[in-house]
Amino acid sequence: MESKDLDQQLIEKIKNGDQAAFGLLLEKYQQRAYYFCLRLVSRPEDAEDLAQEGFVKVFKNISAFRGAASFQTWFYQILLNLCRSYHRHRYLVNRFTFNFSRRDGEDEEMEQSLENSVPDQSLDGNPQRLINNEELKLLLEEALQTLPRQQKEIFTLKHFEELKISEIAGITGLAEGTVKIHLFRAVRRLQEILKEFKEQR
Amino acid sequence: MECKKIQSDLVNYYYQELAGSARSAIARHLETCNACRQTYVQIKKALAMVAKEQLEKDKSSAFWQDFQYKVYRRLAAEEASKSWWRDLLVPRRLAPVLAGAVMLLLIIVTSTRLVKNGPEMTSSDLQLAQELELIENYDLIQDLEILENLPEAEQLRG
Ligand SMILES: [Zn+2]
Repeated sequence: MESKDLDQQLIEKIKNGDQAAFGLLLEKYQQRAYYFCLRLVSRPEDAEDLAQEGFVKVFKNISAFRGAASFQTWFYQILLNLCRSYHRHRYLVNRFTFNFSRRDGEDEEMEQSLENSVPDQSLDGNPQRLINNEELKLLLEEALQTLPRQQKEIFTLKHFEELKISEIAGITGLAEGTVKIHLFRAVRRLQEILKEFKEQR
Repeated sequence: MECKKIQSDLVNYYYQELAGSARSAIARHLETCNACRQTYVQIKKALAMVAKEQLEKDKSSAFWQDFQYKVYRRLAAEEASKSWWRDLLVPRRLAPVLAGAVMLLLIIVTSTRLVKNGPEMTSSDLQLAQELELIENYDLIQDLEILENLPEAEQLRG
């Protein structure tokens, strides 16, 4: 059976009060929900919290889901909205506590560590040294976090969640052409970071 | 096809978002154009570095059991808050809850009245005060008149 049809069956059962069906849906999507949120919010405990909240929203609003789009699209929409409001909230918290405490500015710390990591590695001054792939992967993971919000969301949905452009357009409410532009820019930015990294060596 | 157009489509090509003639046109172009092929190799290299397996599969089954447990606990909390409202509709439980609510309402109404009326005066109080003021003023005026008239009267006498 197609995954999409299976989802639809599960949802009909959940609507009829079948709790076991909800358990199956939870098991099927828990990993994707958690890792998707983790890529968007970075902090594991917050990603867990948001993913769990996503499932609560699914259960609470299941009657509103009519199946016009796939469950997957609907679920990603819920998670994306949760992550966005999380960032909005954190932005406001950071903004208003900035003068009192810089501890909350983890994005800055992250950016700093990203900046620092480049010259640190060039300090050994060995041009023959092979690029450490693990270091580079880590750098790119961090670089991803510095992308503008929409680029990061779209790149995550495309690259990690492996969704079609058309589906991403459905989730984000953007036109397919706009999704492609954001994706293109995100990839170009990652390439630039890669290039800078190589030139530093 | 123009190289610029090809290069703007290479990311979509990489992610297999192009089908049919659009896809084969790029494949053909990459075979013949060195510059575009170089660009494509760079894109492929960069994206291969953004590892998908980096995060996945690093959680134990205990983590996921705990995850599920937390989801159910949240749902139970939601349900509990809903059933509090449902309980209001059950007559057996309605009486004490309603009594409590009425008491609370009374306390709120009385206290707000007290606060509202505290610094103000009732209409009868106000009337009394105005009357007192009038009397006082009246006395004062009379006193002043007497004082003013006094030297005059003395002068006249003197
Ligand atoms: Zn070309």
